[in-house]
Amino acid sequence: MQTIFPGSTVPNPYVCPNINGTVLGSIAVAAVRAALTAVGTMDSTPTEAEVAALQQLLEFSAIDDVRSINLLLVTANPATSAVLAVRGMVNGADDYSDAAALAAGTGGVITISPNIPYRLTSDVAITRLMICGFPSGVGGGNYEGCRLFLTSESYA
Amino acid sequence: MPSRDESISPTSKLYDSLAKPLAWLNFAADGAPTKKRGAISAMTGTNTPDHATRPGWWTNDGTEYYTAPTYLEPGLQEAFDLGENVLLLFAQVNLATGVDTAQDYLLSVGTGASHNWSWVVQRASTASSGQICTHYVNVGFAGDASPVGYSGGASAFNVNADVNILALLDNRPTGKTVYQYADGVLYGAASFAGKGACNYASAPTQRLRVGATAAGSPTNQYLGGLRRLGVANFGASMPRNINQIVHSLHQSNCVPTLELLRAMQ
Repeated sequence: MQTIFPGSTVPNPYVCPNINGTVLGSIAVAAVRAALTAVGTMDSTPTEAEVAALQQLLEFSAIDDVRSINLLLVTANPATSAVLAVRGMVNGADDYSDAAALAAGTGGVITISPNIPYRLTSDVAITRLMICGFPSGVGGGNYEGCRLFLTSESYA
Repeated sequence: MPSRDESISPTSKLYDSLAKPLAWLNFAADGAPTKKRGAISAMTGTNTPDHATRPGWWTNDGTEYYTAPTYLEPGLQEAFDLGENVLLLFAQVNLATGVDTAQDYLLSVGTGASHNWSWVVQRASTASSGQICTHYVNVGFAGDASPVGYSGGASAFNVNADVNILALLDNRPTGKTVYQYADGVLYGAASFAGKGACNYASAPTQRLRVGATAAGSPTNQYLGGLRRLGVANFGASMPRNINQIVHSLHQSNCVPTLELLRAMQ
């Protein structure tokens, strides 16, 4: 597959995703979803219905023609974090099919590990990224400092 | 610099390059086409379709239905035209316990004596459990006096359970068979050898309806939950990976899969 890197003469302005129109550059990873501030974390036996209530939809304007996203999942206490990773689904069909894919970890789902900068490039515009936390299974795990940072580049 | 780079080619890209007609309608919300080739208008709901009882589903109490507002718009016609083509119908359903064993119409394409077809589910009894349901097609081919049901299997799946049902309609001159699947398993096949074409554009009335008959005053409304309904029109060629397509659609709960979309390029 083609890897896209911007040429030296091509400006690729950074843009941020939005949730229902509210632009944000980072989002907390928590136990449960909060309207504009946090994405929830699934349990070890997730179902589609459960994930549908926990996941968070990050959208990009098609006009921006976003083809790359830089992601960094930060956890303050890796050894005791309740979050092992964040799963993501790019350009899914609808919320429920995204939830099913995230729960199963199949169908093109990506996994973002903590504390490793991650660059995702696509050969078509990314318009939606559905995310959900994936549990570590640590007993009494905490969510301290769990936050996903995102920047994306416009190829418009 | 990032320490991990990954290039992806989202499946969504394949929707933009479909060579064969697809209509995949979202009944989780409003009957609008989730993905399709060409222009397809959102369906018009009657009797306020219920999307609240079970989030992500249309829960039909037996009175609701959707009608295509423009019956023969090109995108709709090319997807639903049986002609002498191969059509794959797929839907995720959850049939409610019924008060009768009459046909419940999932989909009805055209009305009249000939050149129309429908996809129905039917309970073998009014019990609330047991493998008592089947699904099949009624087709009025060119020259027919009335549509006839074609089914080669019965009692294949339960009421009150989420089930992925698929019907493969092979109306090529060398095919003339319908195959019935429930949860990825082939459980029936019926032949309509000797029959001709079934052209949507030639139906006496080209109305298209989901959840009831396409007659002016609909009957046989569907009773139960419906989430996704799709029609893939392969034209005159059967995909060689049709078995993988069927299995993958079951695994994805009838969300179009890579196997299906690649076969439609």
